[in-house]
Amino acid sequence: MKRWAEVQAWRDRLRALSPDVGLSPEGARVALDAALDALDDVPRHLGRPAPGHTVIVCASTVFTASIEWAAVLLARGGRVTLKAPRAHAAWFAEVAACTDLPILSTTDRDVLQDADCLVVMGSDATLDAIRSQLGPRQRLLGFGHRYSLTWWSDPDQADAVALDLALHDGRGCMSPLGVFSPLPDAVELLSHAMERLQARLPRGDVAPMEGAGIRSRAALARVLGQAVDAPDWSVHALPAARFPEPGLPRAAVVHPADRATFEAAVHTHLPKLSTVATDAPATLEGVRGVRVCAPGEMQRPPLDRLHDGVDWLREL
Amino acid sequence: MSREALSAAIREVVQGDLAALDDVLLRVHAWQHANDPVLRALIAEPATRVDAIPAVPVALFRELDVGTVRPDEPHQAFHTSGTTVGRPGIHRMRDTALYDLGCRTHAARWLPSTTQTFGLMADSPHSSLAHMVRDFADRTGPVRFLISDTLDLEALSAIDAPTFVCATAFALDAWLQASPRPLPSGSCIMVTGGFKGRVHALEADALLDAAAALAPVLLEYGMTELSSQLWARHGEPYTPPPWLRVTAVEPTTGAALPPGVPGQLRFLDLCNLDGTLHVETLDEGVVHADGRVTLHGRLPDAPARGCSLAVEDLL
Repeated sequence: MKRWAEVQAWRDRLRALSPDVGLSPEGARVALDAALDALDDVPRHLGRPAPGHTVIVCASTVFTASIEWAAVLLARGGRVTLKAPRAHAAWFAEVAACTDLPILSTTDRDVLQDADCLVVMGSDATLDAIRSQLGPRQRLLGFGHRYSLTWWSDPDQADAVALDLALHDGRGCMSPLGVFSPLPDAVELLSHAMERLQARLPRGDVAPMEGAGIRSRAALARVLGQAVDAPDWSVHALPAARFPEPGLPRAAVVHPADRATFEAAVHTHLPKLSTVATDAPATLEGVRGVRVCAPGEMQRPPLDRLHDGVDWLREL
Repeated sequence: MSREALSAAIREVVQGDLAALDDVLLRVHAWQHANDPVLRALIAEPATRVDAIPAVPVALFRELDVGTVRPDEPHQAFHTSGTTVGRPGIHRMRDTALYDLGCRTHAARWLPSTTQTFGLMADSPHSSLAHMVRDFADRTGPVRFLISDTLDLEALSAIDAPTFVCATAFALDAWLQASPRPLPSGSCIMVTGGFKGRVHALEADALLDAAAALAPVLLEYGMTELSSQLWARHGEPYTPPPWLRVTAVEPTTGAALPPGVPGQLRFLDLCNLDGTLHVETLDEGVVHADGRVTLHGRLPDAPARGCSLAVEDLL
């Protein structure tokens, strides 16, 4: 427990940072707070020994994803190195520098060779490439590409659905790639919610290809469904059979659907799902191996959860 | 106007009556609007100004039947290449007469007079590039395609007469790996296609410089979704034909950019009678004040989405 207290002190120092990671300052703040709030709870299995040295390979998109892993490993007495993406090296350096716990940050890929354990969230090709280079005593905890979706049937949940779409500007694997809804005015309701949210949490940077992709999908939605586009957010209605569409910043995809269609989508995509949000939990009775939560909670994962179907606190 | 009348009007523009360009563009657009449900979904009423003709994103060609030709009508179809998932982008035309006319007319000032033509690409009835190269035969000599499963390096090493070698960038790279000797005087190498593949990117300048040591190099830029092409000499911007208007737009908003400012490229191609006039690419470039175009390649992308990392980040 002593180490956990030190981790919580680290958490408090992290709260004081101002991440410059391509999101708006407001968006980065809310995303960081969501990740740090999870450290309020004492995780299970805290007494388990950590691997001696764990390298967490950090993605540049969800800049907070590595924090919970590092926190648990440090609390268990391990040593952690964050292999930072060059794009956000400064942020990860700050994360490591604001504590006396044994955590470092580097962009040097050679650090992978020094790890007893590697934690990697990446594409299947990335994981295969790393697996092929593992030493005989190295352990890999790899998580391949996953995506998420939402069932939205209560109009009053529009703001919560929009928040899930907005955090990390829709780039996380816990961001919903599709919002399945039987609401006849789902596009209008969600558009109003996206507009309200934009005022509070402005969208961050958008790459040229992403901007072009949003306009291209808007054109597709005009042909196949419906499109509402504002300068900093979009809502595109497309047939449910098109799930999953690529994730684009603040560009929601609504799939008009009844409950049976949603449930069929969950079962079809189950092996690739990270998180399912629903405002009607009964819709997912019997579904195992995926994290289920309420709208608005998708990107606030508690420590005690299935991560891509894995009880990570037990496996780590 | 009927399709036949529009086709005749386009021919006149291509053959030099450029004063009628805007008028014919609007007439073609109105006809396409009446015959293409995709276009009608993008703009409720036909545009009355040329700059208001909607640009159809290239991605839609993979998703929808873009254009005025129904799949069950007799037609010639060109397909995009490099697709591993889903269907290719398809450009359907009732016949290739306008494609061929535009292609020959603009290429005439660039093409060499050679005795044979080698295509460093696969021959396919659905390849617009192969179709174009085949169409050059009157000027550049009989055509042989040298890629089936592999590149026929033996045929290339045996070249002993002025030859027009038409190569995709990656096929050219494969040929240059074999350290070929310079081609006979009068030969010419045409290079087309992007330099960024799914596995690796090529150093364009180094590749073209190496090719230029073998023979003079021409660059061609075309797309399956277009009927007209741009040409350039190595080291110079691409020149579009006078009936093809190129604009650069700001990728996030689609707003037109002034000459000289890099942006996402759109092509308004009068010869796209059966398809759709205005096509928005995912390429970045600069449109110069004289209408010529410098290509920069694909638009810059964001990092992989989700928590994913690219292999290149690690290895």
